[in-house]
Amino acid sequence: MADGGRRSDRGAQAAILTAAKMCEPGLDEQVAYSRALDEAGVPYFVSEFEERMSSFDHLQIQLETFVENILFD
Amino acid sequence: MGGRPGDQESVGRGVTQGAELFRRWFAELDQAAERGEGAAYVFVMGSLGELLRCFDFPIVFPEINSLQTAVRRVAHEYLDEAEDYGYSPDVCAYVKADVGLQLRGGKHPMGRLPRPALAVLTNACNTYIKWAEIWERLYQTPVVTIDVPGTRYAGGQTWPGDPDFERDRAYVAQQIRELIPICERLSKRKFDIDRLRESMTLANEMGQSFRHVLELNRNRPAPFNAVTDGTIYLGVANGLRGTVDAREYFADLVEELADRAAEGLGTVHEEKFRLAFLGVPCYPLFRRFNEMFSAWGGVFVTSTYLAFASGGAGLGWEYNLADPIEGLAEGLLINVRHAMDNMFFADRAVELLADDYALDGVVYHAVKSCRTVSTGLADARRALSTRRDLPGLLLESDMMDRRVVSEAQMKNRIDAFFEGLRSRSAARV
Repeated sequence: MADGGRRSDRGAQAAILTAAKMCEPGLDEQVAYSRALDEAGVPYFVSEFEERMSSFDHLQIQLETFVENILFD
Repeated sequence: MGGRPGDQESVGRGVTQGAELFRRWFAELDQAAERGEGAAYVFVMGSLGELLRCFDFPIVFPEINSLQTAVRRVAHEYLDEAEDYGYSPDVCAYVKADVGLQLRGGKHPMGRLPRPALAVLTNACNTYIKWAEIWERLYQTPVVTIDVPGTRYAGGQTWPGDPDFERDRAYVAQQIRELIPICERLSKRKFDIDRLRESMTLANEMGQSFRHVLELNRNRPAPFNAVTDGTIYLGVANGLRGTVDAREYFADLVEELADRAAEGLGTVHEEKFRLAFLGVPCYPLFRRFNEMFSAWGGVFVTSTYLAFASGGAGLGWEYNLADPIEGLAEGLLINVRHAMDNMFFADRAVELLADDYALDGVVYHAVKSCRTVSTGLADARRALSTRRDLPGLLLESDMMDRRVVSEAQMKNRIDAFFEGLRSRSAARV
């Protein structure tokens, strides 16, 4: 998978997968990416966002938790 | 498939024969799965079934498999499995039901389905392309996507003889020529152009009867329900297109419906309101959805579904058999374009039907699962209302996912719609 090659080329230790809820192709591909990252044993964070999203507090907490997991894993 | 279902009474024969043909079709798929054979996976908008039959591929329509799980009230099990696997609640539920099915080794309420040995699709729906990528990843299935040029602007269709049309046809024909050696390699069967011509002849003959069926519903009362009965007709028209069974089924259906029309037999006790249905049906409440209309004497006499999901069978057009490849390309181009036009220019499609079918109202059924069909429906309703005095009801539910179908809410809106239609009728008397 193309993104897997790019990840290993650039030495990324984790990935963020995000798609707009109104973008079906993006949502479909999230599954392919997450499966490939599972196989590669790479930690990743999945999120979906709304076009008119105005509150980011929840997203911030989730991201902070993800970062802490990577830092202290 | 050999032979026809046994003799039956004329009334209701279309439904029982259709169900029998379906059971046979799925039994054959089940047997193919048991033998470990793969199938050609195709979609209703541009299936190319006529060509694929020449290579003896079992043909699987994932859209039909998925809607069957909803009608049989088990769709949620498949959807849950796909969401657990990672699919978002916001993607096409037909796709998710298929993912659930593949994860279960092809286990379906109607039998086991063979895995995809080949996927052939068009660009009629953007989801088709992402859907086939899933099989590519799961099974390394060869995928052939036929790029079919669409209508450039509303009302801007070109026809044979026009230079633009001829360029489009040549483009599609070349893609079909490239598909044939792939089919030969995978099926280990040589392409037989006479067999293709025969399959296209059968599709032409089926199309003649299919059009007659649609026209018979111009009678008052209408002899069939375009949503409930129409879905069965669509299943046969798609799944068995290009076969003797499909041709005979529709010839019998014309006979049955002509008899019903001559006898003045409708689908409800008293037909009061003639309605068009736009969008994809509410399969999780398939019968109940219709009852909410029939209780008021409302009958769906026509639908855009019968147009965009019929593989072009409803068009007044037939394959040119002199050169089957060019004829097939022309057919694919016109049929897929027609399907897309019915989704993207739904207001124009229903406007053409309004007088022929003496419509009293239009029901727009937007579904969460399908943006392609649903996104333009509110605009179509508004656009049509500026040109025609034709009441419209916009409902929002789903074609698969019962979690987003609210029967009570729909019933309130349907009842209010009929109150309005009744007041309108009374004011006219």
